[in-house]
Amino acid sequence: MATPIVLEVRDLSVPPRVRSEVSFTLREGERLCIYGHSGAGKTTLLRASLGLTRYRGEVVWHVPRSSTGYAAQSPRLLPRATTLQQILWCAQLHGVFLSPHGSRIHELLNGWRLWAHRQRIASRLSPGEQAKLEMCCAMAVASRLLVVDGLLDTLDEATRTGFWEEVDARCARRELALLYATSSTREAEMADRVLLLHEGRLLAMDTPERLRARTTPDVVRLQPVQDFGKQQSLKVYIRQSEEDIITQDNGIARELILQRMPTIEDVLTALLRQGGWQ
Amino acid sequence: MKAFMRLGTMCLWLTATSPVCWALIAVALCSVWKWHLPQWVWLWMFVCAAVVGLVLSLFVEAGGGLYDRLRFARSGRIVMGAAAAAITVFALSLWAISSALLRQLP
Repeated sequence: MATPIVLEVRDLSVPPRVRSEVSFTLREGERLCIYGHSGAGKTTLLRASLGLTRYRGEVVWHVPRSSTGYAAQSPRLLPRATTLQQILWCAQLHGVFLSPHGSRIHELLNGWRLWAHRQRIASRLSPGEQAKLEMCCAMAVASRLLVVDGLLDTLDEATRTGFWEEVDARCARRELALLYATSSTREAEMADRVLLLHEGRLLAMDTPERLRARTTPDVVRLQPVQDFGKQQSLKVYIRQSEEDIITQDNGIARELILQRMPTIEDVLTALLRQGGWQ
Repeated sequence: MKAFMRLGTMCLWLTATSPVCWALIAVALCSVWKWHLPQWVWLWMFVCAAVVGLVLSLFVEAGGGLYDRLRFARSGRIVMGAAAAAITVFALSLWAISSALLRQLP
């Protein structure tokens, strides 16, 4: 039996920011990443999918919208409200009643390392803590779908690890689907499918493994023998084989050649070259 | 009912902590005392001050974020209801307190 669909986007475009007609289906337990550089149209595409921007095309929700948590790129905080009030009120706007003394709120505040700040005015928190609070508010209401716009890049390592552990567990149980936009290649690697966007154009959409296989941009890291005061490394795209680079390099001796797995950024660069955009 | 109470508390908190609202209330009280305005005008002024304070808190100070949340969660109606209730409670309480206090003044 096919996994139930959470969100269906058909031929969606938001001229002039998103010029391609984008279609995708998000299923329960799936993690879909929109990857691209700044100005690629990631936020516009996400907001259009959520119905927050005018768009052309069709968006079909298969789950109630109130079961979706949305963490925006810049935290949206209520003025003069404490951290605890923010979470309780934001959850209530989505019809989720959280008890201020309940286990869920305790779990959320501890999980996002905000317990010590629960009585502090949220607007006085540091930008990093405000980002965590925005994520915490989204997680509080996300019972079926979580949408994150760029905030994962700003989280500290410990919080980020905790977030992925929780999301992985919930996705594995098919409780939650994740749709997120990022310009961090590390975050993009965590997705089941990646949608590559560049200047409002859809370049490709597939699993990270298939994207790598389609473009096969073999990347090697060259390390020179001579140390010129700091570590020097050079990233080269080879067309034929390792031999070609060595012979082309006019006898510059190298200590080692490491062949590494191409990242999503390497795939994007390769696709841009193939398409003549760069 | 729980949802309505909680969102009402939110609106009441945002109104009662709004500096703009209190500035307008101060102006209203001065006008009331100076020109001996009738009681219904007081109440009307307090309602206006509360509405301005709450609207600014929700849609200007929150940087458009709450508008986004309301649109997305489609909870506009319940928030409007809660806001109306909060404004009524706030303005009536303030009117009762201020009328009792101003009666003591010469």
